[in-house]
Amino acid sequence: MAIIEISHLTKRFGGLVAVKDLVFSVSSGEIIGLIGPNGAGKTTVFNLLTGVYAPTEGRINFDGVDITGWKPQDVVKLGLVRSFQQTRVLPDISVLQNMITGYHCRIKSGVWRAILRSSLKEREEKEAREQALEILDFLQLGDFHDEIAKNIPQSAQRRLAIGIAMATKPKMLLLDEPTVGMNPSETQEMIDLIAAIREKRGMTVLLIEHDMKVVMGICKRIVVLNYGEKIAEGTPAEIRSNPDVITAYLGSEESA
Amino acid sequence: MRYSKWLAYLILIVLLCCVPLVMTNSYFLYMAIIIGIYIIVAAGLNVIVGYAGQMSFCHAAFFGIGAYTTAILSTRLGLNFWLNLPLSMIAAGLLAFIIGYPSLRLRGPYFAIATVGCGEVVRSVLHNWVDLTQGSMGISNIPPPNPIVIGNLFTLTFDTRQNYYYLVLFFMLLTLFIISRIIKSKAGRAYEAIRIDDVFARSIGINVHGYKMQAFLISALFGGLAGALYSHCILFISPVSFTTAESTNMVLMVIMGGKGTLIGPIVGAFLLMILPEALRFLADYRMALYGLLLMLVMIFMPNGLVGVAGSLRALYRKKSVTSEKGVSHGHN
Amino acid sequence: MEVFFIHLANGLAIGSSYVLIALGFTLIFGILDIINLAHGEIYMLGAYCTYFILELLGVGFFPALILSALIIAGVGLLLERILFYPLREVPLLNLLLISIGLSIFLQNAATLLWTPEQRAIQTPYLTHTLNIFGLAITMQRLLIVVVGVIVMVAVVIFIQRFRIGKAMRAVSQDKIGSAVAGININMVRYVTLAIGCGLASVAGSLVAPIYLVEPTMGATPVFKAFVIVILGGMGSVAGSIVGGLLLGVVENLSAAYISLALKDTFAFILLVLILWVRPAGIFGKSLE
Repeated sequence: MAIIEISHLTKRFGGLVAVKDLVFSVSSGEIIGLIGPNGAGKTTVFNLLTGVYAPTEGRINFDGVDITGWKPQDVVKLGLVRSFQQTRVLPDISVLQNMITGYHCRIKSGVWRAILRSSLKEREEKEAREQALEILDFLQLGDFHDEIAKNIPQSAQRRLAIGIAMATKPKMLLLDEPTVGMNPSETQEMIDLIAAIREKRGMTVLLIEHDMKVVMGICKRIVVLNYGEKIAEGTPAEIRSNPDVITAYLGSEESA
Repeated sequence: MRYSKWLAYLILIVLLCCVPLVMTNSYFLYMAIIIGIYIIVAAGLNVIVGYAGQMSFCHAAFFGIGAYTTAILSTRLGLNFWLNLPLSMIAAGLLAFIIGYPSLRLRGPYFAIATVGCGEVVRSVLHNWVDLTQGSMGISNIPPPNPIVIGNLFTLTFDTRQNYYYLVLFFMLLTLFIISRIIKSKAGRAYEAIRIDDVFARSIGINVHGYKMQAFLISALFGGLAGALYSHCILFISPVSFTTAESTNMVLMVIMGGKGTLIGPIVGAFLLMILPEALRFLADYRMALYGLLLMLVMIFMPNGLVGVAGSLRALYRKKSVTSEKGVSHGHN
Repeated sequence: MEVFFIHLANGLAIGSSYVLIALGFTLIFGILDIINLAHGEIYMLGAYCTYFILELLGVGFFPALILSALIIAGVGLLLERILFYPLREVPLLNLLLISIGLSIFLQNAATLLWTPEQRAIQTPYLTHTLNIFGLAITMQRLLIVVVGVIVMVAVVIFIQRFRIGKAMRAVSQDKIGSAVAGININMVRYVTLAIGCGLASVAGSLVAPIYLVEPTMGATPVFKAFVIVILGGMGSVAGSIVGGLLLGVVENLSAAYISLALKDTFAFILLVLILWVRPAGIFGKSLE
C-alpha cells in the first residue's frame, strides 16, 4: 500500500528547473533510497515533500491525503518528517528537552489548559516525557538525557536529530544523508539503527545517501535522480548494473 | 520537596503584603507601585523578546493603548474601572494582532524596525487625534478604580496609596503566575525552539508564525493591563510617556535583568526604575552614563544579571565538586 | 503649480541628504553586517565638526565640509578598532542594543559638551537664490542636491571600478569566499566604516546650514535612513538612492498637501506598508 505518491512533481526557480516531472511512490514499511550526483535535486525533493517549497507543478499524496502546497507544520502533523543534512538540534537546551519539544504536535493542550493546570495537560506532559525517554533509550542516548545538546558528541547529536524526528510520531521519515562524514563503524551503526527503526517502530524511510554501501545494503528499492529528473528506479542489483546510472556518476564524487 | 517551594512563595507573598504597613514613606510606596506595574510590563515583554526571541520595540504602544483606553472610557463615558480593565487589554491585544500579523513574517532586525515604525505611528495617532485623546494636553483627572463592594459587609476602595499597592501586587502576582504556567507548557517550548532555530522548529511541526503571534499577543495583553493600572495610578497621561525611547527602556529591563528567565524581568524592572533614582546625584551626566552603562552591560553581560548570577553559581558548583574530588583522592 | 515644484525641489534636496546617510548605513550593513543605530550621531558629529571648523579656522564652507568628513571618517576607523572589530562575533540583535547605548551616550555627551543650544552655520549659499525654470531656489538646497549627486556617483564608481570597492562588493556577497580568495577583510572593514561615516558627515554638514546644529539632530534622520535602506533593500546602493530621493519628495509633498504634523510619521507609515507588502524592500532579495 503506497504511503506516499509523487506524481509529475516539478519545481522551477525562475529559469532553473530543479526537479522535473518526478514520479514515484513508496509503500508502507519500505526503506527507499534516493541517490544521484551532487546537485541532482534530492534535497529539493525533500523540501517539496515537506512543504518548505511549493511545487510549480505536480501533486503529492501522503497517506491518502493530497498534501500539495501544505505548510511544513501541517505535513508533520500528518506524519511526514525530515532530518537535515547538517545535523540540526536545539543546541542550548537539554537532550530530553529537545525530545519533548519534538513531541509538540502530538500534544493537544494549549495555553488555556496550561494556565488552568488541567489534568489533561499534566497527563500529556508526562506522556511526552515518557515517550522521549523511551526513544532516547532506543537510540542509546539514555545516559545523555540531562546533558545540554551542544555538549554531547557529534555522532550522538546525529542520533538525537533522528530522535527528535521520531518524537513527532511520524509514519514516514525522510533522512538526508544520515551517514555523511561517518567512519565505517559509525556507518554500520547507523545502518543498523535505520533497519531497527523500520522493523521495531514500523516507520517507512526515504533515504538520501551518497554512501553506496549503505544504499545497497538496506534499501529495498532505489530511485536515481540526475539534473532533477528520474533516470532509473529499481532494486539495488538493477541499479548497480544500470548503464544510465553509471554514466551519471562517472566523473562525479562517489564515496564507496 | 515541592512543599518547601510553596512555603517559600507563601512567605514571600506575605512579606510583600506587609510592605505598605512597614513603608511609611509615601514616596517609596509610590515607587513600589510603579515598580510593580513595570514588572508586569517587563514580564509580558519577556515572552516575545526573551522566550520567543523577537526584538520588539513597540511595547510602549501597548502600554499606551491600555492607558488611554481606560482613561478615555472612565473620563469621557464614566465607565467602571473593572469593565475598562479587560477592555484595555483587549484593545492592546487587537493592536498586537494588527501590528503582528504582517510584521512577524519578518526576520530579526526587520521585525525590530517594523515595530519601531508601528510604535511611532501609534504615538503619532495619540498625539494628533486631538478629539479623542486631547493630544499633547493629555488626559487628566483620571478617577481611581471603583470600589469593590460586597453587600453590606465589605467595601474596598482604591483611592489610597496603600490599597492601590495591593491592587498592583495582586495583578503582578497573577501575571507572573500565568506567564510561568504558559512558559512551562508546550507553548513555552515552542517559543524557545523558535528563538533558537525557527526553520528547525517548523520542520518538527511547530506553527512558527502562529506561536510568534501568540507570544506577541500575550505580551501585549499584559502591556495593556500594566498601562491601565498606570493610568489610574498617576491620574494623568500624555503621549510623551509612550515613545520609542520608552519602548527601548522596556526592552532593556528584559535584557539587563536576563531574558528568557522568570526572575529576569523582575530584576530588570527594579534595576531600571531604581537606577535613574540612584544616579540622580550625577545630574546632567546621568543619561550619558546610562548610555555607557548600557553598552558595557550588553558587551560583558549579554545574559543580564540573572545570567551573571547563573555563571557565578555554576563556577561555585564546579569549585565545590573539585574540592570534593580532592578530598576523595586524598584518601587514596 | 509653482509651489508644487518648490516642494518637489525641497524634497529632492532633503532626499539627497537622506540618500547620503542611507548609503553609509547600507554599506556598513551590507558589508559588515552591522546595524549601527548610532549612525545618526555620526551625522550629528559631522555637522558639529563643520561648525567648529568654520568658527575656529575661518575657512570656507567646502574646505570645512571636506575636512570634517575626513575627521569623521577617522572616527569611523576608531569605532571599528575599539568597538566593531572586537565585537564582530556578537549576535546582531545584541549589537543593535549596543549601538543604541552608543547613540544615547553620544547624544548626551554632545549635550554636555556643547549645550542643547542650536547652532547656526552661516554660508553665503543660504542667502543666494537661483532662478531655475522661473522658480526661486536657495542655493544651499541646490548645493545639497549637487554635492549629493557628486558624492553618490563617486561612491558608485568607487565600488564598481576601484579594487577596494570591488573587494567591498565581494565581501558583502560572500565573506568566507572573499577571505579564501585573499581579500584583506580587515582593510575592507576599515574602508567601509570610513566611507560610511564620511558620508554621514557630509550629509550632516550639508543640511546643517538649513536645519541648525543640535545634539539630537541625528535621531530622526537615522530612522529615516533605516526606512530607506529597507525600502531599497539592505545593502543595495541603487535602492538607497532611489529610496532616499523618493522619501524626501513624498515627505515634503505630503507635509504640504496633507498634514504638516504627519511629516516625520509618514516615513514610518511608509516603512510599515512596504515591509508588509514586500518584506525584502523594493530592491531587496527575498528573505526566505
